[in-house]
Amino acid sequence: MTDWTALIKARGLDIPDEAAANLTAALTGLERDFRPLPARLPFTIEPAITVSEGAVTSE
Amino acid sequence: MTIVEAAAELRARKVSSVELTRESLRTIHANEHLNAFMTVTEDLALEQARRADEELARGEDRGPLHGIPYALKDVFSTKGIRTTCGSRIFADHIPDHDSAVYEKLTQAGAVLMGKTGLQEFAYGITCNNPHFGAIRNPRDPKRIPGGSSGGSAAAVASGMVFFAMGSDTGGSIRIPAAFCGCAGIKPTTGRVSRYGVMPLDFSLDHMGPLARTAQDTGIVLQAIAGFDSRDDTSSRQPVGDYGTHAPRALKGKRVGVPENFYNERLLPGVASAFQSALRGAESAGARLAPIHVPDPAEINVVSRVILLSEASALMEPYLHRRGDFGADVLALLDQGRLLPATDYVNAQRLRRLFQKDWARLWNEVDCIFTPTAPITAPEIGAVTVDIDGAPEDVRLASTRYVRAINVLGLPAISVPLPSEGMPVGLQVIGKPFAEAEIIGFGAAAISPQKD
Repeated sequence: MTDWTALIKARGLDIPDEAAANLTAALTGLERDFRPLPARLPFTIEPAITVSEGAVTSE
Repeated sequence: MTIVEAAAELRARKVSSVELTRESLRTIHANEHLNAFMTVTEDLALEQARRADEELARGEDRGPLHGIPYALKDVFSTKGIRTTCGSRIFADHIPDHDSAVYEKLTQAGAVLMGKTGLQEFAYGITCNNPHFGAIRNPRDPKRIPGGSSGGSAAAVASGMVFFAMGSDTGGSIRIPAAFCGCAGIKPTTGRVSRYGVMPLDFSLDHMGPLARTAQDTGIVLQAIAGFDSRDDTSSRQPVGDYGTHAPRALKGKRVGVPENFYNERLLPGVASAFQSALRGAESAGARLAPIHVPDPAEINVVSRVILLSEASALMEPYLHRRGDFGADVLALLDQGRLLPATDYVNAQRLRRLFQKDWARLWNEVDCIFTPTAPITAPEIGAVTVDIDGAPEDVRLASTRYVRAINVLGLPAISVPLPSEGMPVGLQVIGKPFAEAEIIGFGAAAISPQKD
């Protein structure tokens, strides 16, 4: 599992120590629930992000 | 009084728009303890009401919203009118343009009473706003109204306005509708333009109305739906007939009743109200079909990864002003800064997978019924709720039954169920662009018409 406190420091984010400590439980729980899910993804599945026709065709 | 009834009285000259507006203002001021409004636009409302009366007198009828008082959640831009997003950062923000929804409602002749309060940046469900104070539930002011469109729900449920606009990223229209005892619809992705609305999450935000009845939400949706080239996700699908009363809408329809997830960890009062709704649907001629839905718990996890990532990306330019954010929102924004990009991309790929899985359900059923929330409105300040003897975080419990639907992009309406005590909502989920159907199903389930 990720060491979130170390990650905050390594990235130089301006998150105070007390706030960082409060994030750890939520992020660890989310990581535990999320990380197994992508294993079921076939390579052919692309992200569900909309690209508009106008954005593609206009300069 | 509903929009349907008020519109009839306006045309019969039994009441004027100015009279409706003055009554709305009186109710707003009599209920200031609810803290539902951020800004009341009294002078503008009276001006718009006088114009509506003059136009109706000349026979210039703009439709059923002409002369009807309403409110906008304070994320909808209104040119020259303060739009705070419930934040200190935008506390004095005066937009230089109107949102698409406000443009359309103005064209429909509706009367803007003001801007309603919300969770800071629409990011959360308590509406215990650290900068503008807690919004209170009209049914019990010690309790939250739900959120993030809590001011809109409180304004509708207390009779301040006939309808109010909300935004819904993970249940923010349906939760407050359920907690306050009114109706609220989250349309299909692309059905209502997001142009001019302060975003919380680019790929999960939806705009929709809250009103006293399902039919009233349909009347409002009729006025605001449609393609808008200014919104990249806007759909060219034809607009349906949303406002027509269809008392026998459920006759012969297959109502999916999930046998997993939506019957787990809910309060007994919610479960009994939901069972009554199922019996009502059956008596209205529906066929109940037990179904197994692809796991909403996993979709909820995907939703959290997407929301945390997109909201933090959006707010990145302001995060050096830590003191200007409330603690709840700041904690979520900090979480989002730490998630790896690979998680976000894979969450959007999983979203595609879940959308395909759920699309197969529509071969089996015409709609799906669930409770809107497993709980009723908690008390202000509560961090956890007790369900089956175990505590659960208020935010996660409140959003558990609704947030997956934003990931899927499906339309869903919450309609108020008869219940003992605090209000309970019935969520009706439909296939893409089936707003007319789910409005009819929701109305018929709570007021079944027997042959």
